[in-house]
Amino acid sequence: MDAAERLFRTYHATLVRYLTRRLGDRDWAEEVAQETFVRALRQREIVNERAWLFTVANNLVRDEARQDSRRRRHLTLLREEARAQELAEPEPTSLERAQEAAIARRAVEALTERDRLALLMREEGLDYPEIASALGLSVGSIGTTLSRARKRLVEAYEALQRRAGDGHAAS
Amino acid sequence: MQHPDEGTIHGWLDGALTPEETSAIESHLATCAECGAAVAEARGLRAAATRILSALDDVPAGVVPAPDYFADVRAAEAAGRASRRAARPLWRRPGVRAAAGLIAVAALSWAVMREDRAPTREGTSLAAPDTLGMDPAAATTESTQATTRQEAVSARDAALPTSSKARAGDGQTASGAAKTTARPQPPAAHRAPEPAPEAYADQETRLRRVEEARRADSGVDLQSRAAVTSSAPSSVPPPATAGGVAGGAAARTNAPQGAIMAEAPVPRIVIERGYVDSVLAADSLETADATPAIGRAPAAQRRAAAPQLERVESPRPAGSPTTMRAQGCWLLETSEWSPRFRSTDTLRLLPRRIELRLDRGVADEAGERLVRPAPAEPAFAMGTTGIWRVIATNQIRLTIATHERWTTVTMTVGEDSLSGTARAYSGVDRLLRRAAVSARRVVCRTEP
Repeated sequence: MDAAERLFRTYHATLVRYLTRRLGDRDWAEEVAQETFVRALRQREIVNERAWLFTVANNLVRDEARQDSRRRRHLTLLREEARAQELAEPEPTSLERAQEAAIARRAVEALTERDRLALLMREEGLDYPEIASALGLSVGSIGTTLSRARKRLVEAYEALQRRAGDGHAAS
Repeated sequence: MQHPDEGTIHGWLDGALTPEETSAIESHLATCAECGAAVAEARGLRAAATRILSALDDVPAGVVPAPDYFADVRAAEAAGRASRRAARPLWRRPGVRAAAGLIAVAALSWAVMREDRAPTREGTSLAAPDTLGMDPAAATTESTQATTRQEAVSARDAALPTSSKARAGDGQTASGAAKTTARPQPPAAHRAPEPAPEAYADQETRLRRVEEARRADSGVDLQSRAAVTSSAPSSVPPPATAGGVAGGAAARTNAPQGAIMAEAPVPRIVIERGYVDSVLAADSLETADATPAIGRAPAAQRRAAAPQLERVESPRPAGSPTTMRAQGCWLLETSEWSPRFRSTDTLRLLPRRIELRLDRGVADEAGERLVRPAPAEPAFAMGTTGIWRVIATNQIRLTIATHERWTTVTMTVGEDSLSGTARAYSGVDRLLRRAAVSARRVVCRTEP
């Protein structure tokens, strides 16, 4: 197995999951991950592979978000089509999961960018120095960042769940 | 040492502290109850955050709303109710309901029953997530990536100083049970705040436990089930016991009315109003002496037959310890449902008192047994069926369903109590509701 293949096998799944959680779009996540690995191949030497990959992926997302809103609109349209197709065969588990996912998505969106990225990277197993390096923070601040992120995420999620319940009861 | 702040506690749980910091915080925690509580809270937050984030995984493409979608939602909220319809989740839109209605109803009962027969996956997914430290629903996703993740974790742990490896492993495990294969316990003094004393060490162990529980509960039955299939293949109905519309209609045509079944040397199956009960073969070790099952009779007839049968007790244990502790009558306390049931919605399926019986239904692929209202309660409405089964050691799930709505309750079995979560899904308003449920044991008394 050559270095590129090893890198891909080791980190592709975790990077795609991280990006999917962050972007809410699996296809987009796959694209960013692919571009990240392409760049890794061009790189002669990477000291900390995981931190490097997540940093590059973060930068790609940021650049892309800046310059390519048109493509996102297109993706939104595609998503609508996909939704319409799925509605032909709804099943309870997917409805329930979609509901949970929607609330989870909103809760994640409620976090600040820094808290969100730190938490999502931690969930993928990055250690504190890796997270600090990817986000340009000091290692000492990561614990505080993560504790705040977790607390806010859970609070936001619970508040949204309550609101969803009240909203329905009122309607 | 001063009380550690939240960041330090999270750092400790994440295995990110230096050995010196680690031993300082650990010796402090050994004596400080206040910080013990803070650690427990932090553990809870870590587990909850992991669970929430895992809800974002593995959802069919197109179901996860785009970030733009939530911008719309926020704008709508800010502007009052201006664009309420657009903001409403997809599955609540009236047009969507209309379009999907019939298929959903038909698919629902089938899917419910089918879901209940996949204990290793689904059984864990409804298990109280907080006590497992992660969302079990993520386990399937996790396991597919376990190799990758394991390598990553190993690589990371290898880089840590030896003294902190165990703790790093511990922190890692708590953030996702599938992430590591070992879960070193912190010193005894620190176990008190641990909210999940029985958290599974890893995915493998969990699957094995579920499998063991399943085998313990239904293993004996595998043989008798095979006997049912082989000796009476044409009588075995499709698995739509929840009252699949087509199955029910077909069954009605040749159903003997109100049959009450007794022990039989060969499997006997009574098909009645779309429901199928059976008494398994007498050679089944487990059910040879079990209480006779009642075929689904019209409600009046069932009530008439009930008192006589209630007095029949199973003469010897017929199941795993969990089964035996769970069987019997229970008084259920249900918290407020969220979202609330409307006052016009009279069709709540959960009786106030239930009886978990040892009798098995024939669609018994995963140790399903019968649930019904306790003797003094009103019988199930026609078209309602109830089953329960053990999904893991000390965990049971019961499902009560009609063809258009169902309620599942996943509960932990205590000595004389049950507690867990109920989920009620209605095909009518296409809404999932949840409630916390606890139960205490009551005597299965028959009314005169």
